[in-house]
Amino acid sequence: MSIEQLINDCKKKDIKAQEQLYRQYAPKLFSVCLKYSRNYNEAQDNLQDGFLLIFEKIHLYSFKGSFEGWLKRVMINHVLQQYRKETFLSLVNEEITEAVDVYIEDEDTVSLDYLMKIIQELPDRYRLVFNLFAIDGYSHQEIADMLKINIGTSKSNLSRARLILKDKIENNIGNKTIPFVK
Amino acid sequence: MSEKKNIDTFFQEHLQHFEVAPPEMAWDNIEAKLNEKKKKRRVIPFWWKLSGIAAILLIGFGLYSTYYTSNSVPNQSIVNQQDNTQNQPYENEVTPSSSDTTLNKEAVVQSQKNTNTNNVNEEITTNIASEKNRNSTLSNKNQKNNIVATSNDKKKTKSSIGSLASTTKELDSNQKQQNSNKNKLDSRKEITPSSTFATTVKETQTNKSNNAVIVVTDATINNSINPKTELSISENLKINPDEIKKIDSTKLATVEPNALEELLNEKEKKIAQEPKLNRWQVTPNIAPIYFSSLSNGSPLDDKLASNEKVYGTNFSYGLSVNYTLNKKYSIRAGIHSYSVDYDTNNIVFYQDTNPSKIQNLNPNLQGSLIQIDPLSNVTSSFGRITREKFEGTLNQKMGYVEIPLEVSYKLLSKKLGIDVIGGLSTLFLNQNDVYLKSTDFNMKIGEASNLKTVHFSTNIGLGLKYSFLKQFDARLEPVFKYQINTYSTGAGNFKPYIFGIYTGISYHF
Repeated sequence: MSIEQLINDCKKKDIKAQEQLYRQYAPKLFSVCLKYSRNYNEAQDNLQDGFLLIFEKIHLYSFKGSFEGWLKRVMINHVLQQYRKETFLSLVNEEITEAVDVYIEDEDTVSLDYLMKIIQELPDRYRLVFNLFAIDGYSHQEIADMLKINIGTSKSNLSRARLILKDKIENNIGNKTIPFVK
Repeated sequence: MSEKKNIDTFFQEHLQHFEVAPPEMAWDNIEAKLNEKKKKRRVIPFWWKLSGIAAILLIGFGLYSTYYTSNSVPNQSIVNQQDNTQNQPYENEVTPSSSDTTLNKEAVVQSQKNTNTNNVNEEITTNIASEKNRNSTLSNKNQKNNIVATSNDKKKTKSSIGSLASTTKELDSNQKQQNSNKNKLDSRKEITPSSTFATTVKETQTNKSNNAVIVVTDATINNSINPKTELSISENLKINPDEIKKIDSTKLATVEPNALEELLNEKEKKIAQEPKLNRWQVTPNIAPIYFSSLSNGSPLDDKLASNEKVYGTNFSYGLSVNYTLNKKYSIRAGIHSYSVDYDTNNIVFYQDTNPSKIQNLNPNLQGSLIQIDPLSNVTSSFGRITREKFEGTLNQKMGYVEIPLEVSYKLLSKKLGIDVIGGLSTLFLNQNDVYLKSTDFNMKIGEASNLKTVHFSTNIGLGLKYSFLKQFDARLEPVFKYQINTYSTGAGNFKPYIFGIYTGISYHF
């Protein structure tokens, strides 16, 4: 079945088509959820609700642009919505720092799980900004609009996220090397 | 050993394209929720089945009046606005297909319909021959617009002739566009019968990302069928690709953020609106019930009509379910149980082997041996004066299971809310006893023979609510319920009603 056919069936709320669509795109979108959420469980919740939203809004997809891109945007927006609601409560140091570029040793020894873990551990806003900017390539202006913050805050959040991540990666490498020395 | 690397690129490389299979449970949950939604839709008819016809009519009227007045007017104005904005690009002759650059989806759909129906209208009303003449005299510029525009229009034609009527009035305001449309229409009209047109349209739809292809195919259609304009069109073709590239690049730059905003807005709206409209509400309630009659008859026997009646105060308890139809109206159903009773005072009774029967009483064994008379009659029963007589009270108890179906209309919905409630209850008789009470005993003497097992009441009341927590309301609803056809025969001018003050805590979800 072509993807167009599948999408059209989903628009008719055909449950089989919905399942097939889910099977096809869930792994990609789950990775998005993992990156943007606080932990595995929340990622799963976000994935479920995100897919429900997708099935509800799929009639709005008019075959313009890539379908995968559309799915991803819906999912990202859904997750942002979850955390944007709550972030105003979390205390984030808003002091503006200069935009800093952070460089690290390119280590192959760092596991994917660990990278995921340290991203998830970032404070909500840092995590969202870092994901949007560094991984998914949104501009600060776009991020500011999406999160309803100003550009300065977005830049500052990004810098702080970078520093925290760098710190954690380097500590991790340090920790790892100790057993080797012994 | 390893080079320094920007942390962004480092993460990007590792995390951008990886995939993780979600747990199998996730789909089960989604499926469950999807099914739930489907089921929810079926709930309404289920309740309606329980209803009386009057209540359905009431709802129908409510829906009709609210939807009819609120929906039609704003829609009209939106259509007009979009139509106007749509016209401007044509007049400027700068961006031939403005609709492509905006991904505001609903707006696009609307405007597409409009441009399209304009075309259709034109098709109907214009003279072909004169158009052909005009066709040849039209400027190149117009035709250039048309080619790009038609590529859009063709995509749209099949989906939208529905809103034809609504836009006819806009026509006269679009002189320029009409001119260009006529031109375009002319070519389209000639094309339509041929099956090749349909197939090429399909092709163009699948190739949406490639505008150039669309234009080329459209242009070839034009070429093959409209030889008069062939030259000018092919000239235009040379120009078009540049323009299309421009469109494409602007698309890349502007479309995606727009789409995002759109989605965000939509989600926000959803979040802003939905919590307000918690559709379902459950209210366990209890009510003191005051039973009485509008007239002083007796349903048991006419001879007791003038006796004093003392009505008992009882309790109704039950559960009601509220479904919010829209901001103003909600429909309510539920189940309540209550019993009512009243005393008929000032009677005398005595034992008799062959007593005169009380009209509407099916006596049990004891009851069949007791003669009952109103106190006022005693003097006349001269021959039986030797017997010992007792003064007493006749007590009739009726218990019902009530299934109300009511519509409530909000007068005020702030923290303190006021509703007007109207509806109908179906009452099922589940208790029917007549007792004889005296100072030292209380004896069942039978049951009323004229109570219907199912009867109705018309309800009217006022609902007061106070929301003290987000999901909880305290409710107080004084409701007057007038009984209809309670008695099969011989109601004895007895017109019972109950007045209940229903109190309860309702929970929204």
